[in-house]
Amino acid sequence: MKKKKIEKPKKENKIKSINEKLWDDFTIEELESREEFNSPNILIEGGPGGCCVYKCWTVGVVFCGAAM
Amino acid sequence: MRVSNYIIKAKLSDNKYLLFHSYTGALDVVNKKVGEYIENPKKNYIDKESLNTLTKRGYITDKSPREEEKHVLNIVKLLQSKIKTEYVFTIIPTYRCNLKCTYCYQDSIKRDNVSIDKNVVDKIFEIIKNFSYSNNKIFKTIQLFGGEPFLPENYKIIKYILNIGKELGYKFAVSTNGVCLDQYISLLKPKFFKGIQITLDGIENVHNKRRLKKNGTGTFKEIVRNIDIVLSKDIPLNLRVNIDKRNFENFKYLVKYISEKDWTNYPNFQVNFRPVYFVSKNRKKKYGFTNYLLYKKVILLLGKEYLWMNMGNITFPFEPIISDIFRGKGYAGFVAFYCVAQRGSVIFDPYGDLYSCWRTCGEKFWRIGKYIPKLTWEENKLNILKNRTVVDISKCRKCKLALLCGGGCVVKAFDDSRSLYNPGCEDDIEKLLIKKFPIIYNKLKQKNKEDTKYINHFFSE
Repeated sequence: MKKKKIEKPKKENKIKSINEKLWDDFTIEELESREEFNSPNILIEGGPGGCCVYKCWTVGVVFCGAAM
Repeated sequence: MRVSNYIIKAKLSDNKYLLFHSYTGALDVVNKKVGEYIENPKKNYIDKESLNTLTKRGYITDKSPREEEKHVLNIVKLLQSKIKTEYVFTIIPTYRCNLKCTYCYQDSIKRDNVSIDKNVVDKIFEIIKNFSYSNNKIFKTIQLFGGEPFLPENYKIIKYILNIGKELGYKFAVSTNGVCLDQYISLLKPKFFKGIQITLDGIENVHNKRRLKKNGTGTFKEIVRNIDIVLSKDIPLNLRVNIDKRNFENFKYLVKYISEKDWTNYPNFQVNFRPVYFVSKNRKKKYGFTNYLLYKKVILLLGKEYLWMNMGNITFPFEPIISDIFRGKGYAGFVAFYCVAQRGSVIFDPYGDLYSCWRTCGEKFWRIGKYIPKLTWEENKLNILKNRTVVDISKCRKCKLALLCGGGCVVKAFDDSRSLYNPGCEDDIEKLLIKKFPIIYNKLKQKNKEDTKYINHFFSE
């Protein structure tokens, strides 16, 4: 007789992390010395950029409330 | 150990929760049990492994609320010291305008017949050149703003500005009311124009009551005709729709109109619905709107299928930050400041004054310098703007959005409270963020699956 195959219950993924690099508990000095910190992609340079047109044409997000 | 004060949590549709830790930058999808534990750790239980992960990611912390606050301030100080200013230039050829819109915020400023001439333009570009010689980081698109920059009588000077800018390797973008745009078409080459923003506030009878000419006649027909022309020229067009209590109920008809016009089929078309912000308390109460209200009304009036339109935008770079995390760009791109008006924005007005914020051009209180007869800066104001961070705003220090928002708009803070050191954030912004967070996430997830190219106008909600 064929044995009935018992399916193992799937292990539920309780926490799925999207990213790895965190601004965690390292000190500011440690953070400054990290190579990645000085890469241009890490920080948004010059502040976030507030005005409509500036952001519209760069990341497609409108910020400014000024009505034109 | 305790649950951190800096968690943004949103429910996903499939019995899961989305967590974002707003100073570690952790982004996680968790199951219902973990989500409930974060909500109320005393009444719920999770296994050790999950607890360890939550601790590692910052959601569970041994820091006291005060220590967490201090950690956030340390990050702000670090960002403040490391961020390199990127300069963004705007030229206002004139404050004059051919319209008298019902909500114009420039009503109180001096708007006589002054326009810039060739000598002034030369002076402006001399200054811009010096900025780049000094090894500064420059945003290579110059904005044209007003008043109305594209008045027929400005044609020659605009042409002159564009020619010099092009020679120096700059591109341009313009905010125009669009009424006389057809007279400028020969100057608008897709290669040099990164974008045009035109405002349409509703279908014809609604728009014409809000955006009318000095003689009281409407502008709808001219604007629509010119939108068609710009779209056919492959120039990116941002259609702005200003919404307040006087026109929000009609905006569904505009949405229908946009669909019927087939504008959405143009890859160079995007639309942004924006609430009108009023400074006066009476007008704000009577007519004012917020992004949160706009978002709620969209859902109520139109249903979720219209969420591809840019409505109810979050007024700080939450979406780019989450998007960068998705694209594996390392640490979350937290911010120390709200806006380029605090660092980097230089606006040349026709009177020889310099400003940093479009909203306040022409208001002497906000002037940051002069460039005629010679370049001088009001260092005290620049320093105040440059150094205003959440560190100085006690109400922001405890806010979980501190590293996303940077203290909010400095002008709004002053308008609302007569102090620069109060929060300048939009009403109900946290509620909006929690509503939109899962939508942003699902869209990015979908994008990753399809491995599609990052397209600006489909990325924003």
